Amino acid sequence: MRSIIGIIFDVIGWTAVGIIAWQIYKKQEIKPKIWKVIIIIYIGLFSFSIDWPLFDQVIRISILPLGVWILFLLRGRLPQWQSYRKYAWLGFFANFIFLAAGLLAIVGNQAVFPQNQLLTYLANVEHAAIIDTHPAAKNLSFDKENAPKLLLKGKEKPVRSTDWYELSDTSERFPYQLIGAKPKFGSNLSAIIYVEQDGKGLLIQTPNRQYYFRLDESLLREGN
Amino acid sequence: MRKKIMLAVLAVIVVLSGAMAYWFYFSKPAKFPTNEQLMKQMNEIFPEAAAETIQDTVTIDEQHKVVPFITKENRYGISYWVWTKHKWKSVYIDDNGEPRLWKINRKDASSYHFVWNIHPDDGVSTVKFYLLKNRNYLFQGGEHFYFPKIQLEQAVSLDNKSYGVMGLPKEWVAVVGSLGKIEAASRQDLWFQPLFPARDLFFGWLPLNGENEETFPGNSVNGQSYSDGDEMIDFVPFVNKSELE
Repeated sequence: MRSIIGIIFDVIGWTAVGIIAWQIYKKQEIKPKIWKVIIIIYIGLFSFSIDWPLFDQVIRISILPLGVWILFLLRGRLPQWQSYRKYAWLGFFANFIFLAAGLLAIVGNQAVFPQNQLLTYLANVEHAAIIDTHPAAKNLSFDKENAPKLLLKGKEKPVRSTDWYELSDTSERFPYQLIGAKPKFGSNLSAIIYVEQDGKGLLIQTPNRQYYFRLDESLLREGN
Repeated sequence: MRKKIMLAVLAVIVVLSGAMAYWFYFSKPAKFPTNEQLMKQMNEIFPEAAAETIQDTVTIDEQHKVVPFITKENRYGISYWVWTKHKWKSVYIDDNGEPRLWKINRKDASSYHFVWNIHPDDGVSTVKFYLLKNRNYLFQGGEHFYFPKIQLEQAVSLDNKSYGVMGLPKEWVAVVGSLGKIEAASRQDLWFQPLFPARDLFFGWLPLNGENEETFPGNSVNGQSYSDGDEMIDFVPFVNKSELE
């Protein structure tokens, strides 16, 4: 799922394309058919592109204007090709408008939903609870009252993958899973949150990364 | 005029075929067949099972039922029934009752059901089911990953009833569901290979006797089965004691 920031920048991108198309249209003496203009822009978007990974996202860089070429080859069948040509190219350049929008969305996402902050994943814990996912779990429950202020002071620490693996032996360092916590509104993030035995550590698994946070006090308390 | 008649005929055909399709695919299930009908149907499509006694009919939901039975050779089997294309169809017949996991809707773990029919001669009094995931670590692209061991257990007492059906406990559903969600999200970015696919999760079982000791259910394994259709009815392996912590 995309975040609300990504969607907003997408809408801005489309609006920009629409405004440019309108500017071209206004200046034309022979008015083309609007539905045809929309189709031409869509075909113009079609391009040969390369995908480039950047900050956990993929950006698409268009290189060859395949859509424009196809339309150019078919121009004989399209009356008044001259008045549509610009829209085909607009379609191709729209790829770059969306590229810019995508880059801005990455920056915006980092600012609004910083991936290295606990509150991005645990903005609301009113309906949160823990599941014992390993026999090393004690009979504890999630401390809803104290959690919000504890989470505020969480500090990111490195994930010590091999150490934890080797030290675990037959016990599990993270024997609980926290469920029902809501991420920050609009982020549409999905994450799995494991809780450390002492209740003071959180291991957060996102679709392509892990974060580890330590707290001053335990998020878990005795009993139910 | 002719055109109008043609149109009317066409409209009638469209409406009728729509109604037929609706009836065929979406109508409410008919009454479940009687035990005699069930046995007849089973022995026709899978004579090897040679069902002799129907023990019960267990309803999972309106369109999915399970029928435990006993064969002529005193084996304890299970048949799986689905209301599909306007008839009750036997999609799977097993002439042995070691547990299987019926994933009615693959994408929704709350639809998963364990189904079993353990032979009484095996002396099994408790069945333990497990949801497991191995501990692991990974260093990839400059990032460290640690994957905790998952081990959830659910014991079911047989209470002199050889057969049973059990949906996944709600904690299990949450664990399976959250892993599936992460996996789906990471698959969207094809560039990144999924880090820990949900298939790393697996199910298992352990049979225990009256003294709570592990026992081998010799009469409930190694049977024959018949399958028709694309239902996901998965084999549930024995858990190796060394996999448990």
